Amino acid sequence: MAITKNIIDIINVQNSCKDVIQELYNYESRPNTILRANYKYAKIDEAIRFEILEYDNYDDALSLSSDTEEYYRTRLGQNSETYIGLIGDKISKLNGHLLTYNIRIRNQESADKEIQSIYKILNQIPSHLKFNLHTIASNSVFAFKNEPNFEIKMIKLKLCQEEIKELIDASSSVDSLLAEQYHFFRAMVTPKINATILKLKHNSAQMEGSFRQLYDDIKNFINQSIKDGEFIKKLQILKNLKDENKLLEFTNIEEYSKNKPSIATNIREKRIHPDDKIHDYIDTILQIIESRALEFKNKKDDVALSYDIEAEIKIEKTLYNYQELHSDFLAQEKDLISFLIQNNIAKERILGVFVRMLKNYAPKYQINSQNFVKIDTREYIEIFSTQREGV
Amino acid sequence: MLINVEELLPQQIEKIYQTILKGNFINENSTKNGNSEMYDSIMSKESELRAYFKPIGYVLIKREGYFYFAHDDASDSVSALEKIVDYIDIASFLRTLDSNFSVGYRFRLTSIENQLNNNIELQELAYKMKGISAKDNREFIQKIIEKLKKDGFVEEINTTNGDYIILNSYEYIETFLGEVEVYE
Repeated sequence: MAITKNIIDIINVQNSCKDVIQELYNYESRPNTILRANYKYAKIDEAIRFEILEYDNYDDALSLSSDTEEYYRTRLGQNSETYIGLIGDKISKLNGHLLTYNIRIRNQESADKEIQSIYKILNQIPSHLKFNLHTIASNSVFAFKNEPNFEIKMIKLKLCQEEIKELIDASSSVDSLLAEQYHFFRAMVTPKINATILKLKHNSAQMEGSFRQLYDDIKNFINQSIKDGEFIKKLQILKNLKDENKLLEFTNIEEYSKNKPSIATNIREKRIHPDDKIHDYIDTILQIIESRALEFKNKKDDVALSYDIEAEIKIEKTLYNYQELHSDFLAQEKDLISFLIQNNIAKERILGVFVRMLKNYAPKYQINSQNFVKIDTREYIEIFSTQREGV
Repeated sequence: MLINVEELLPQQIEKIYQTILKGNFINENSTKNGNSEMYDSIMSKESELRAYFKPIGYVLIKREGYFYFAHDDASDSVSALEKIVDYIDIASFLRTLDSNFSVGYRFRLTSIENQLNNNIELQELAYKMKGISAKDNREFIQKIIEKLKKDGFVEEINTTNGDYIILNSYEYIETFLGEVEVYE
């Protein structure tokens, strides 16, 4: 159950485990040696081959492999404590067994028991490394995402950072041991041990990436938490300033608020609904702008530019009753611009009145986007009341 | 220069417009009111929609996991400032309650109430908070959640248990307050 296994592998292992555990139960509960033998060579055999179970040749005992145990512990959420020191202990024990093995070989005694112990330890080391890796990973994620107290979160994350460093060191010590004792292991000429060492090396290469990834993740969690901590402090400062009525004086909040696009809320003004096909008028509006620009250009040479404040005030003073204009428009049959001209709307304001009428009452008007009515140099879109005859 | 958005998003355009009228956010992590569908629609036709709404005075703003519409002028800056100032107390209280209180945070009303009941520092903060008066801790929490809900920053995901989720739009408040400069 290496970390690299995909979900199908995991499901397969999980399904095999269910059967195997049942088989194991049967195996343990039946003292009959023939039945035991049958079971041993049925599914259990397969489980041993796939390292779901471990079988001890000496005492005929079957047990869950370290990988399987770790898998179930993780699933049950029991992996919350690291045992990194255990890897160091295993290395010391391994050295001890290697020493006794050497003495036995020199004295030409049987070293099978030592080989079995060496094999067991070598087999357990990758599981311990993986177990610790998973534990540190889940502890760090849990601390980062779920620890409500900022100070405790930082303590936990820093502990995880120390632990991952320790684990990387432990993994390096395993690699060093394998390198140092290379000739020794080679001399053992036991296919089982050789296969285990190969597996160890393969695992070590695979896990190096995972160690680095986790180290980076924890570093990012710490950095993010530091930022969060600064933000919490800032919120407290802002709150204090607010309570002392000094917020505007000691921060740029007012200026910042002005420069930031504000959320469109409290909309009171009636705007043209997009479903009113505003895009149909865009070409007309562009034409109007062009003709106005031309008008301005033509006048520019002859008349000096002047701004008549009085005239502006006079225009501003002429207020139109749009509601009344709208009612009158609905009661007759002419198009909107002809109706406005007929109603003596000031020439300077006719475009504005036209647009305002359209903005305010568009749903009640029938807009003919194909036809235009030309007044002076401008073209106005043909708009009729929906209440006129034949509509 | 035809922007035929109705053809591209026939069912969504009206909903999007209604959302603008209410001044709401369009959140990716919301499951209500067709928010996530609207979010996907906007994502697929973002530039077309931006051009579509611009002539009527709205700017489509995209942030991490949410959209909102802003006025193309500073007409609402005063009310925006008032709103954000209100949130200083709330954001500070919620972060003190749980340092993880941010976008995507899930909580249960009763668990927050329990935390408040057992934390003197929080109770003091709650007591000093102006603008939210409540007869007990439960009502206080309910009022805060109601405000967050009304402003489009939180959503109820389970009515039976009173489970809530902080929507992506809460980033607006945090970014705003995070970017304000405090003079030394």
